[in-house]
Amino acid sequence: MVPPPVVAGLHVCRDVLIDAASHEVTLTRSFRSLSAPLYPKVTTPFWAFAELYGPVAKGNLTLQVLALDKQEMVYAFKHSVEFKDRFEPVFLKLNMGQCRFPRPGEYEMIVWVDLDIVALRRFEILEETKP
Amino acid sequence: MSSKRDSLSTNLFSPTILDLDDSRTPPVFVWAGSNEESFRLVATEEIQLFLRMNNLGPASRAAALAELARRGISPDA
Repeated sequence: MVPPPVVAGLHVCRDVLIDAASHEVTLTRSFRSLSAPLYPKVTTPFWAFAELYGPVAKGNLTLQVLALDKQEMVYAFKHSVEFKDRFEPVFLKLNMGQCRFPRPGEYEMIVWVDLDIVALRRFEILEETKP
Repeated sequence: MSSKRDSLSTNLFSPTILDLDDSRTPPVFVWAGSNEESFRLVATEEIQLFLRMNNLGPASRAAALAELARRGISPDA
């Protein structure tokens, strides 16, 4: 896609609400660290939200999560995307409940459109300890 | 005056909303205990795409290549 899309924001949070009439976005509890069960359990569900702008074109959007200690991929989600207008964004709102984190530590979320990285977001996973 | 303009601009604002849930649309890759086991569950064309993305660490990359080799497929095919 030329020029590559740009992202006005990539967030990880506990909830996302988009008002149907005004399209105003409310992000709830945007986090830097998340307490979550580790593999083989699935994560505590959370949301990824991004606002993307691109040229009028269609492409493939991939959201990837890497464990930063070894650059190991732990999750990837793919979906088609269409930018209908240069000045109208695409809101990506993904509920992530199937991700499995192998260990506590630093992770990076990467958003690709085709083969271009358009956004990065680092976050930390802490092992959830429940009595 | 300003509220009328604000209302107009809000009405014209029409983002495309991709409202996605990975319980309805399964991810193409999920950690399955090791790199080798994880790539075993991934479609061939997705593995080839991940290799072209070129941001995997050595262990992920080696597992992706090994899985393609196990299927008898060239990474560039």
